[in-house]
Amino acid sequence: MMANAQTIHWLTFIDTTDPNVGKIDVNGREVLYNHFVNVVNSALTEKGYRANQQDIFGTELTPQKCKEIVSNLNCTPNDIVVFYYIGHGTHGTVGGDVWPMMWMAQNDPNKLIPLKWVHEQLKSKGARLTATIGMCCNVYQGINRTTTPTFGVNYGNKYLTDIEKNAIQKMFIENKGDFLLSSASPGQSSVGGETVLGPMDLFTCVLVKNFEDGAYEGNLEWNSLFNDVKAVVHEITKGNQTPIFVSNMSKASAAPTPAPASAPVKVTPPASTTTSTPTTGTPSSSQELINHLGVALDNLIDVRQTETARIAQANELEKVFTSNAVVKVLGQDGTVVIDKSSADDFIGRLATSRILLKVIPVNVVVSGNKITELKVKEAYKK
Amino acid sequence: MISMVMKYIKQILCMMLLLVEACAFAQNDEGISELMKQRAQQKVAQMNDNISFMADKSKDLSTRNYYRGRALNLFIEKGEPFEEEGIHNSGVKMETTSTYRKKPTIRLMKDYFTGLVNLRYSKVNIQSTKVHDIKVSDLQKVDDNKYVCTAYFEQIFVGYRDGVPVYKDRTRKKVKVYILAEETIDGQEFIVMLGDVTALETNRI
Repeated sequence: MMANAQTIHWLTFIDTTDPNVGKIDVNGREVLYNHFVNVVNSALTEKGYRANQQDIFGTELTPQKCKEIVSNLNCTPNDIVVFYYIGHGTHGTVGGDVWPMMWMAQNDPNKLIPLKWVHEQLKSKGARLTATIGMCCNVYQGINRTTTPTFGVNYGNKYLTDIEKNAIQKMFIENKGDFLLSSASPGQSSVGGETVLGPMDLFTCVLVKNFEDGAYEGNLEWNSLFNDVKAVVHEITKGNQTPIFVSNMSKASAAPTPAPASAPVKVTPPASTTTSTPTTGTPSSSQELINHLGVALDNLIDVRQTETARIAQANELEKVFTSNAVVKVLGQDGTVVIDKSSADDFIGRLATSRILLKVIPVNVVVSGNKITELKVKEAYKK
Repeated sequence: MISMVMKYIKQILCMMLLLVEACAFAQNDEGISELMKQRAQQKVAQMNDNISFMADKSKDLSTRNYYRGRALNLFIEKGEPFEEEGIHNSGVKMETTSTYRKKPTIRLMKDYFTGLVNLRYSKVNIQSTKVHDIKVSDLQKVDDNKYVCTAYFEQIFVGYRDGVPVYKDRTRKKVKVYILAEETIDGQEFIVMLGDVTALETNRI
């Protein structure tokens, strides 16, 4: 993954194929990204943070994939890492630590991934802030607890006010340390169903609602946010689900904002002809391309650069699109295409805009080394 | 403490009420209408941002001309002639006013932009309504695939000579916004384009 600048790494693993909860987790993933991941990314962009999104869901989700991504993640000292799992989990037999183990869309108890293991692995990467959140059941079952995975790796947008932006920047950049959370206490299930944000798990819904309220009020702090979430989930479920967390955070001065990129970011679509990123699976090559496109679009709208530099980047970026490529802009919440244009018009608009805060690529279609269609979400400065 | 309790109650009520509501994913017409109005705001704000840049004499002339070309892409047929309800239109127009003139002037957008790049003041500052403060009317259906709405904004123009402000006015303007709907294999998709800009009222300040 990109080694330049400072990066916020999002490792999201969401079980969208489970016959029972897969459908609500499809919405859970949308909500998590639209109301949390994309919002945080928008706020951190102007502080020089680039997003590395490892968005694993659908048929791509396996314990091996999780282990591979967690093990291979590389960080620099000013990076931020957020791991978020939505899916089935278990505590296994009574005893051991309080944290659940994650099924990761399969049924073999020998392939469970302990949440604590993920957290320890990620902490060891040396990022300034590491948060690990497991939204899963933590019920007791006749399954042996493990502390490490026991299998081998198979390598195979909205408007954001200054208050909201500053609160998010403060939460993520002016803290260092680590944070580990399970959406349920040992012996408990994590519930889901219809919510204000559609069918999804209760914990994520309460988290994003409290996150949005806190950002709106300019008051976001790790402990108070998650204490609120914990209390609300506990209250709604009448004590049947109580999230647990440990927070080892301390205040830290923000890392210096790096200078804008001087050279255009090279975006290279895969050599082979591919199709669009399916909604039920995420080929790694497409994910990597989306991450690189994200960086290129960040640079294109970066008003700290000279206009000439932005125009030069626009000219470079146009080369990776076919002459008839289309860019579709999605509504901030959902999948409605609210606008579309040729890639040239889109790139030109971005290169000459001073009102955009963040442009988030969400889907890309590649044909013969060039991009034929791109879907994005846009966030504007308020 | 009370506000915290109220917050919980609000959350609990929301969760309970929505147990009986339809899936939030299914966005109804009203939801889409709001999304399109928001997009209209963004397009108008982009136009204003480009106008402000094109008039800014501190920026390089060739760069301002580049912006002129890109800004025209925001408009229907990129400012070139088009047909509307069977009537030939020579291109999107901008109406401008001045407290020095009795009547407003109407120019093709591409000519207005050229004039903006070449204003005779030594320095020009144009500020406009921020994106979220731009008012947008409800969408009106023209036919199965076309809607229009009107966006309202204000523009403050200051012209300088030798560093001294010699002209300053505030103009209320409205812009016609076209929303074109297309049926595709993935469902309905929209395109938002700007149309004529009309000056409503100008006051010297």
